[in-house]
Amino acid sequence: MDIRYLKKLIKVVEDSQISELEIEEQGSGRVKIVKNLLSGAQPVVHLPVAPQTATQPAPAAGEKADSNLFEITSPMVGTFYRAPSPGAASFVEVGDRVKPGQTLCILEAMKLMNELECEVAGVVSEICVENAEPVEFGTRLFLIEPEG
Amino acid sequence: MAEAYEVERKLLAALKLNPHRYLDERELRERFGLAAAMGEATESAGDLERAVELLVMQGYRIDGDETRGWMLIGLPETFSRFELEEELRTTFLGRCMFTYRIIGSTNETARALAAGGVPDGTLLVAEEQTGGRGRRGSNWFSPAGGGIWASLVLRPGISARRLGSMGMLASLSICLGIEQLTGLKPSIKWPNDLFLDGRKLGGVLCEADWRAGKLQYLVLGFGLNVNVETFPERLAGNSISLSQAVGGSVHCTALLAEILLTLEEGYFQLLTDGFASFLPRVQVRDYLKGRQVLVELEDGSRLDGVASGIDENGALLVQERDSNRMRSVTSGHLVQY
Repeated sequence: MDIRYLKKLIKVVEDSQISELEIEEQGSGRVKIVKNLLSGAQPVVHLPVAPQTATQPAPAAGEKADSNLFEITSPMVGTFYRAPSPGAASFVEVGDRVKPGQTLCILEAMKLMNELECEVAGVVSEICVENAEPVEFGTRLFLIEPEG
Repeated sequence: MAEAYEVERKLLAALKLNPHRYLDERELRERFGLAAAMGEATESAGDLERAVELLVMQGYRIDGDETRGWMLIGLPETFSRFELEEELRTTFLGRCMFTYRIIGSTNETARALAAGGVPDGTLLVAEEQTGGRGRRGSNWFSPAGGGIWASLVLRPGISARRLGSMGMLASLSICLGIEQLTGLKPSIKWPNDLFLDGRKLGGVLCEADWRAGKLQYLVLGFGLNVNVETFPERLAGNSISLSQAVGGSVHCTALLAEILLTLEEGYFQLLTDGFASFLPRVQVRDYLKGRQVLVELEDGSRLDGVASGIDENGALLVQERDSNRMRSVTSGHLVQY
């Protein structure tokens, strides 16, 4: 498993309400991340023996996001859509002002249409994924420049 | 505050208890407690007339006679709220219910209600949808009284992966409900369409809303052709309704009550045991198994092969024609099947 992917997963666990996350990927083994709830310190990473394969593609863009920007990531594996239906206007464009609760995109998995809501008020600074592209759990989708 | 439709409910109960007899205003008020529902001040029969009108609008056939009163002569053939309330055997699905004569799309309204905070299990049912939807903006023909056009608001504490099999669970529940009530054997076309005799009988559309990595709500919509008599030309060759298959009308309300009960049991089982526990029942109803399929994958490439079942995560297995390799498809569009 890619180290950046692991870091990403750790961050997801840290920032969330969940205390434990286990992910299994064919060919790259299994990882379990347990959050130490008492101290709130760094999570413990258990890495069972993972068969080494060719390098896994990093699920997220490589370079680190500008720390001022708010990052919105995918909560699932699916297909990223910028508009409610083919031919319709996109939910948001770069430069658009967005508010909490506003729909940013649709992620489709198994015909389940998942609408992703914005969590912060701000301006869309970057849309990191192309329309109809597959995304992984944790893939960075949007960068939002928070306001106020 | 008086319960909603209290007069209508009491009137209906009284009429049902006296199936072959007219009940006049005095008897209704004295024997069936309808006066109490309206307060002592009400002298005119206005409230009763309004209640009769509402029941007639719901599809009840009531004969009115100026001197003798009212008599129930027939139950609704299309969906009816009061009938569903009587037949519902669930603990939470449909316990909060919104019914519509006509609506744009039950899923659309369900999402607005969900965002507004309606309880887990809230049901929306419409007699007619003018903007019934399928996946990615496609239309769903939903004529008045022709079927079950419904949506449920769910708020499960569930992972994205398990959530992915909700649609298939709903498809399975609908199949089981139909089998129970009609003896017909519909099948599931991956991931969530229902087929009967090689034609489309119904479909499920799940829409979820996420915020900060957490599921806010799930709207599970389904359209089922129950008593559609004729389909528009563009659909006629590949659509079917239950009434066409059995050669007579099918009781929408009883069917919906059965589907909701099956779905509720399945829902609890999905939360505890996962999708794998449904797999055998899904596999025997797999419409695509053994068929030549052409799947357009998310990256635009096409997968040509033979559908070879459904795996424990709800993905479609396709044995690729060229390589003989087994591929699992979680997201893709069936171009040919």
